[in-house]
Amino acid sequence: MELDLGSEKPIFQQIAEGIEDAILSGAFPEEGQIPSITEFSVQYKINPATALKGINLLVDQGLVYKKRGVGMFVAQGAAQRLREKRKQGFYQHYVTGLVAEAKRLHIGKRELLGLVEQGFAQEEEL
Amino acid sequence: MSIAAEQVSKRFGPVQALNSATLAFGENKIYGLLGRNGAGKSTLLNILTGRIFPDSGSVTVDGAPVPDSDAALSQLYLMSEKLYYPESMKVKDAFRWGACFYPQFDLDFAYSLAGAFQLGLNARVSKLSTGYSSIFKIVTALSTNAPYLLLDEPVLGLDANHRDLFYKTLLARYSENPCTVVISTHLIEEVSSLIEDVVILHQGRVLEKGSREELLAGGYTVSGPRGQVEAYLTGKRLLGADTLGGLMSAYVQGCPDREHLPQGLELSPLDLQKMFILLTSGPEENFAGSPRRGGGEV
Amino acid sequence: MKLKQSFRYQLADYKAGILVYYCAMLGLLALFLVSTVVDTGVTVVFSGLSGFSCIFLFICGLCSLHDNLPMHLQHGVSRRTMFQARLLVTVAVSAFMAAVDTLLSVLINLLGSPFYGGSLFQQLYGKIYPSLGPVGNVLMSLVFAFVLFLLASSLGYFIITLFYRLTKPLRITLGVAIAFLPLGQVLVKLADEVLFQNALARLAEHVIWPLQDKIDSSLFLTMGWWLIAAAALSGVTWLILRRCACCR
Repeated sequence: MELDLGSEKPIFQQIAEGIEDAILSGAFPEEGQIPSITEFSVQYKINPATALKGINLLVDQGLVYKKRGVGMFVAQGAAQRLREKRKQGFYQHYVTGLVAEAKRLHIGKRELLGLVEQGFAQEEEL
Repeated sequence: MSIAAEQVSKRFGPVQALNSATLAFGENKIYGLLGRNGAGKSTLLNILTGRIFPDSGSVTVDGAPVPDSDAALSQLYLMSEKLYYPESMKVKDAFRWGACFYPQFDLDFAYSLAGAFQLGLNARVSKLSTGYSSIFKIVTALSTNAPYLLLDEPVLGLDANHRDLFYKTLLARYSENPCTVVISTHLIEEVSSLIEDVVILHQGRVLEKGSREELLAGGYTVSGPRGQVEAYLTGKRLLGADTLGGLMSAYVQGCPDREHLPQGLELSPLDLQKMFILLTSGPEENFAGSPRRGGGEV
Repeated sequence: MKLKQSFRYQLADYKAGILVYYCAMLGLLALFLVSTVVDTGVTVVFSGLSGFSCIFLFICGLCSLHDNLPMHLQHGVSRRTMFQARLLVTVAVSAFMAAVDTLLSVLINLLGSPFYGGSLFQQLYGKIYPSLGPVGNVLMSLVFAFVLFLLASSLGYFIITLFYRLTKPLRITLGVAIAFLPLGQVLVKLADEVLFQNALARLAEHVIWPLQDKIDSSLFLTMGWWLIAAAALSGVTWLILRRCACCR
């Protein structure tokens, strides 16, 4: 995962999303340990308080849990719950923007759907 | 538990280096002490550690007054731009005496960090290049385990690799062994995500102090076609602006109202460096990119 | 308190100097030993050991601030602690060197003819106190050298502290003033004649010179006077040092 310090998104949120991505991709498996606050802080040269804030976002959602004196682990079923959560946000995050841009470029509904199909076809080829 | 400066003033001849500066560095936080050249950063740090005396005002560490108390002074380690070691002293001897004066000094850590930076232990401290002089001071400072580390321009003369190593080591050290770190630097962008709190000195006065996040939340950028941006700015407090052809980026104080943002305008947050520049430049510098006009209210 | 640490540091600062100094002294002694083997007609008198040591300690005093103050401030040691440790180091080094000097002169005497090792004390007061006996003589030499070393060391430290604290123009002014001291004496004499009708001269003649003679003629008054001078110098040094800024 990469942090974009110039981005509008706060760093702690980027950390949280980075971990979410890793959980979704299986890089951080369920019941597996995730790196410590110190490791995140040192790796990305950010204040530990910022890293803690990011991870606490996930702890609050029950996606990650802390074992006292051991470290932090990905919760059982976290990937599934994340997928559902992101699906809910998918329309707002991606579809509205996609449609708005398509309108600016005078891409019609039919043409857009065609492009989506093309995208799926390409993914399958890979 | 903090280092506290109360109404501290200091004058050098015609220059008022500090002007009733009141501030505190609390426990276990990383601070950025920011200011332009001559803003009074080094003077402040020298007064905090009892190297020089303020004309008026007082400094205390955990309640004990500097500079007569060893108890207060022992809590601090100031890495300054100038070298405070005897000219003939070797790096290893400097470490040895550091360990003598600071009971918590970690000699093994000093040696291993010196190795990581390729700092020769037998070199004389006064003969080191600017970069290695900084490295020597960094290594010593991080090894003392003093509760308050004051770092004045810590990365002066360091190449990118060594700067990276320094920031990472500092953070690792800080996470393992929480302490207060005050970084005084010109390289704001580099320390921006490291620091939790900010103190901005300007012309000897404390201009801003508080959390970095709060400071940055106090301003935003709005950009878009020039006419639209100018219309948007009505009634808002303007910090500065850049124009590029028909495009304009305006830096505005306050919180943006996202709901009522006109179409075609974009909002983005200010980064620390931009905020610093806006706060510490005169109106001429802040509107350099746009046609002349008074600062402030539009 | 970091008194112990500061004491260790400042003592270490002296160590190398003292070692070199005594090596040079022993070298000199060896040189004379060789020369006596070659030429048997000479008598070698080692009398000035304490005198050399006195100058050595004065110079050490002069060199004891410039590096030490920044080093102490860098390591979180207050000026007060540094000064207290400095006093302890002065006492320790003076005692050590007085002991070594006395021992050396005793050893030189043991070598017998053509060597003669007389201490400064014996030179100055040997005739006044002939009844002390060998042990008393050695003890008295020891105390005498110790007090003298204290004074020399304090004087050196006082001068350097004063100069360190003064701003550059004041330093130059003071330097020039010292250079013109002989002229000052003439001026004072002139002023005395014109303004005070030789009152100062009379004061000197009736009070100061007799007092000085009295002090000079008595061993204990001399040592007491030196001790008071060393204490006074140290007191003033502390007042100067207390608020001495250290900005490299």
